Amino acid sequence: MLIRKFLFYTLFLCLFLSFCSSEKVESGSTDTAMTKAEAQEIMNQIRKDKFDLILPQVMREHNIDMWIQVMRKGNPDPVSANLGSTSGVFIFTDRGEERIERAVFDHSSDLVRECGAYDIIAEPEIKIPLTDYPECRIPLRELYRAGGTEWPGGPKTELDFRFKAVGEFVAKRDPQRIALNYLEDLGSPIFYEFPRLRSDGISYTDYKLLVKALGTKYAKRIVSAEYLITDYLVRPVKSELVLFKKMRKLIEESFKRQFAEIVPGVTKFSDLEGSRSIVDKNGNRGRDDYVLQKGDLICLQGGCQSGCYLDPEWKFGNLYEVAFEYGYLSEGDTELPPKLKKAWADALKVRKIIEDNVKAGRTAGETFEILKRKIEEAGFIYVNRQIYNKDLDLEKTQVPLDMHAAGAGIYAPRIGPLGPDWQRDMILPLNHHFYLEYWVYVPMPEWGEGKYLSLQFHDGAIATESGVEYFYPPPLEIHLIK
Amino acid sequence: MKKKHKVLLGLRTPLLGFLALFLVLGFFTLFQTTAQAQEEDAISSVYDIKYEDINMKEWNKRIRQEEFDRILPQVMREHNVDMWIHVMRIANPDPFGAEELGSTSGVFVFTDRGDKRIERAVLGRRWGASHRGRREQGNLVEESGAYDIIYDPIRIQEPVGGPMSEYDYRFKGLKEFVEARDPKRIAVNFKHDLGPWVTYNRENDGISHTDYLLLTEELGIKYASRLVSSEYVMMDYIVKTVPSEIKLLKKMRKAEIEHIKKVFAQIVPGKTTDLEAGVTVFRRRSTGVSQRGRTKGYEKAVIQGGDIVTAECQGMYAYVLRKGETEPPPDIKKLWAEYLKIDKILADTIKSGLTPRELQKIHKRKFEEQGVILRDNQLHMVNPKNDFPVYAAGFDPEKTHLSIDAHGMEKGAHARKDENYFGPRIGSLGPDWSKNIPLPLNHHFVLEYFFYMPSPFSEDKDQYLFWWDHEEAIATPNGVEYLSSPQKELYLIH
Repeated sequence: MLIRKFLFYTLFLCLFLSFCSSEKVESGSTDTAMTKAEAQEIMNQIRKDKFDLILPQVMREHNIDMWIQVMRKGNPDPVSANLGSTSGVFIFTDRGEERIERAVFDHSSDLVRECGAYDIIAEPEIKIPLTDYPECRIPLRELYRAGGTEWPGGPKTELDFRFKAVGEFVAKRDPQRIALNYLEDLGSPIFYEFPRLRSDGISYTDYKLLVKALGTKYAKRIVSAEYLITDYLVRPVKSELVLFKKMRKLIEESFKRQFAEIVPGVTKFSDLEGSRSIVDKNGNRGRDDYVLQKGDLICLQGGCQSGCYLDPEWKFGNLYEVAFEYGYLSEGDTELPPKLKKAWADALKVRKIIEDNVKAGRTAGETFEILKRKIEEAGFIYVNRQIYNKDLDLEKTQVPLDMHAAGAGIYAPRIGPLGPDWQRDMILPLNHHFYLEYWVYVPMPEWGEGKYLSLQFHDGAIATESGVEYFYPPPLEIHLIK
Repeated sequence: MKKKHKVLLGLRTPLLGFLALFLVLGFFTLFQTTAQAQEEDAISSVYDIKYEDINMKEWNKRIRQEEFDRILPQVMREHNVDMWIHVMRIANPDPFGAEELGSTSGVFVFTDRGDKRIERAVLGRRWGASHRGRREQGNLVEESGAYDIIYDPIRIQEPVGGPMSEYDYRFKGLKEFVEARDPKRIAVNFKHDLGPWVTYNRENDGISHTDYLLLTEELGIKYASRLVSSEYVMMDYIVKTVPSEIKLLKKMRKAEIEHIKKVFAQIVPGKTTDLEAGVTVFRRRSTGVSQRGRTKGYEKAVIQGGDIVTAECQGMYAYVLRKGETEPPPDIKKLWAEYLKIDKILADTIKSGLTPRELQKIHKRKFEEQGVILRDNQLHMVNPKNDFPVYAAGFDPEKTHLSIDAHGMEKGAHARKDENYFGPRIGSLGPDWSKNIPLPLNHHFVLEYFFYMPSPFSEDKDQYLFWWDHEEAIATPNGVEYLSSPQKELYLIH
């Protein structure tokens, strides 16, 4: 009997422990989670598609024969993920053929060599003067692979190698107009200098070195690549949309999981990784330690992985997705309270107006004017600021807009009031990828003077000639959490 | 009914048993985890030093003030610069600006107006709190008390758009400011001559070309034509030390020594790992494997008898006695004597005022006299790495090989000390220009060198014993001043 019991307990214990360990391995995985290799494969495909389809378009539209993009690790550039390296001198040349020639000079990355998107990869050979040993030459890459070590110095510095062979390369192709990554006209929005979308580009030090390498003849032909880069970034390829669909699916799974985890009276606002805002049935806003209660309206925010802040390990650079969804903690009711129902209905009406009126081929500014008018005609009040105006008609919902271009690019074209005018002057290209970012502010005088209910949306969409299309459906309802 | 009870009873018995078993197991696991955690907590790492008695913020404030008062006039006048403009943008990380000047954004303008004191102004777009109430950039500029003119930080809240962009504001008003001071030479943060070593790939170049265009447009031709690189001003500003800095370095060293002695005392051979203790272990390993555990797969070593345990940044070394040993074996004794000999030569010869090039000549002669071969490359880094026999061929098997890389260090007003390669560099590494810069008075640097001593007692086929020193020190006109008394005897770990 004792032996039987011992065996039974042992078996149970083994089962229990194996269950614990398998749970640990599986935790956190989802159907749509990507491995690093899968992520890299997707980015490679996007890179190739963009080079094949978008690059010839934008270079010819802007009458550019050569685009030189200079990037350094010490000067982060958000275009780096698109090209596959944080450093290097990338030279794209229109040699009159269908395909744009793609060359990379200076130290770049393994990815550049392995992705199959480049025709020419030329790295400088560093001459190492060794007094005790025969002089040897070693490619920079090999040196880094050997442990990233430094070797005894000499008269040269790293600055001497940055544009090695670039001068001859350019002269051989004799471009008439050379676009370089710096900015002249398309300045960033006021107060906006964060590197998420675009940096200033090439350093002045690098500019001087490049000019020296090119010589006066070609240096004179340099113009800013700002228009070209902006257009290159905002025109999506199919593979890019596949990635966004995948990202949106990840976010959706995360939302579902989080909504399912909510236990009224137990779950704290801060327990949810995507917690964005919470408002109770009396219009009071909750903070991090707030315990969710029945009657609350909770907004979850999902982005690439969690929250809207980019994970430093994010493999898609400036391609990212942010979305919001809402959940109502039911008090036993089978549908939303009337005011919430109205707010949601208003939100869908506004969405429909946007869907019908954002079309490729118009400028962002023209589209913005149409939307403002249509929103007013539908009985709403269009407001320029993302701030509720308590002095307006309490019967009417207020609607601000900021429908900027998706992840890649510097928010342009931008359908909305924010940002410099050039962002509104841009034409929405066919299949323009943008966010339906808008708010509905529903006045709630019953909560107190100046109180209102706010719903924010940020769903990725595509502008076609006939209107908006989605690569992933936007939320159709407020989740009812029982 | 009875049967059902029996079944339930039958189930309940093992269930109670499980509960009891889990409670016992849980207790043991908990006890084990707690005990383990306590044990792990008990091992303090060299890196755990907290400088508890040092108010670093106050010291940094004092250092910054002294640097502005004493160094700034010196370096600007030495390089004939009337105005130094340092432009910073968050998107372009600038550690010098962030800690020495106190911000990662803004246009910092230092003007020599002929007075003893250099005028210090913070203009341009320096970011303040965002509309969400966060002030991510901190208030260091205001708190430093080091500036004469401080424009208000900009509140970050995107306004409704219009024809203007951020670029229209970046240098707004700077022209009037410059005109009123009429400088003849204006230094700006870009590089011209003083590039990093050939294989360095993380250089911060300074101002962007976009910003340069905006700056010159704002200044107009008259002042734009007066722009020069600030690289020499900046380098000298970084490498020159102030008295409070030296005082602080000594204070920090005292705390470090006390802490490291405790760490050494806590080491249990056969149990403590180098990672736990935060030490480097010199150990004879087979050909091709780093003797200081830098080869992949050898990073974590359980400290054992025969090892030399080091806190090389403080120049502290201990020998781990093998079972039965009461003192280090002859080859370790010889190695220690060789270290003392080499260190003494360097301490006597490295003097402020001399250039690294002059020192190179002195060292070659002095070490040759002592039977030490001074070499350019670091023997363990030559490919194939850590394969000493290959490189020993043709050399006198009795002679020690030495490679020096006594590069700069910087503390300044930084939160922590860091290596500085932008300045004089004694030894074979670094571009030629770094050999021509005289060591400033009280130059803060590391006595970094590697030596490889032939070991006739060696059990393995590598015939060299490796040594690495990386002790911070100060160069004075009379030689090296250590931050703490140099260690004379090897500590012993039993």
